[in-house]
Amino acid sequence: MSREAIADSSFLIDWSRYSRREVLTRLFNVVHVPESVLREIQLPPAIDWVAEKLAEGSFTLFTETPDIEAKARELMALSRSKPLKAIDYPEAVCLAAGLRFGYVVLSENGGAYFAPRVLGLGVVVWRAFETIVEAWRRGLLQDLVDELRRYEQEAVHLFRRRDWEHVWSLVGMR
Amino acid sequence: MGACMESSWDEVEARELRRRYANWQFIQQLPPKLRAALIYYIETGDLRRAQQLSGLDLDNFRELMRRARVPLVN
Repeated sequence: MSREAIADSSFLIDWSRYSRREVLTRLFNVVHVPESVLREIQLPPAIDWVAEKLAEGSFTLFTETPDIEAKARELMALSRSKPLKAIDYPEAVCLAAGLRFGYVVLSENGGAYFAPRVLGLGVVVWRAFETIVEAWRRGLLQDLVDELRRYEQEAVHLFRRRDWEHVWSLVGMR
Repeated sequence: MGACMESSWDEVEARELRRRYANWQFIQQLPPKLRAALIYYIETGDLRRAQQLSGLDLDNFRELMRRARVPLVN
């Protein structure tokens, strides 16, 4: 797995509310934040946390180059012809950069999450769910069920039954 | 509306969760544009389209969802 990630607004806005949010900077050497994503983040706690992480260097600003912009617009156009929830420019930039540089894409956008399967893209997209599971696998979080429930409560975010069934299978294996 | 890669069972479950947790009294008192956008999200789960309908940026739309107790489910 890449030790670099690129995050969109939907991920950062929710993740910044999680009291164990610092685990993200232990999972990845660096988290890239596109300029178009940064423009969308307006309110605390997300704006304060992202500014803090940019200042300390665990996040870095990702400037969209013409080829990434072109790929992002291509993905947006492609997504409109498929059975997929809307993908807008900031998350399309994340997908394009993930494809180009092999970054893990962090997103809570349903369109971006299903894009690899629907559009046949060779890119890994994680929601908070996969991020927390991976942190637990690496021993960065202790109790997987407690952490997922904490995230649900703190971010006003619910995981689905199939996600919980996956959790029960993982916990049962330990 | 909003057909996507998710199975219809997953879509039904997610919609039910959003409907069940939502504070409908709060939602009904909102201005029409914000009310319509939240209901669109509850029914379809399409965050981007709902945000665009609201006229808010994503951060403020997510804040509105929290105030209305509408969970993000994906």
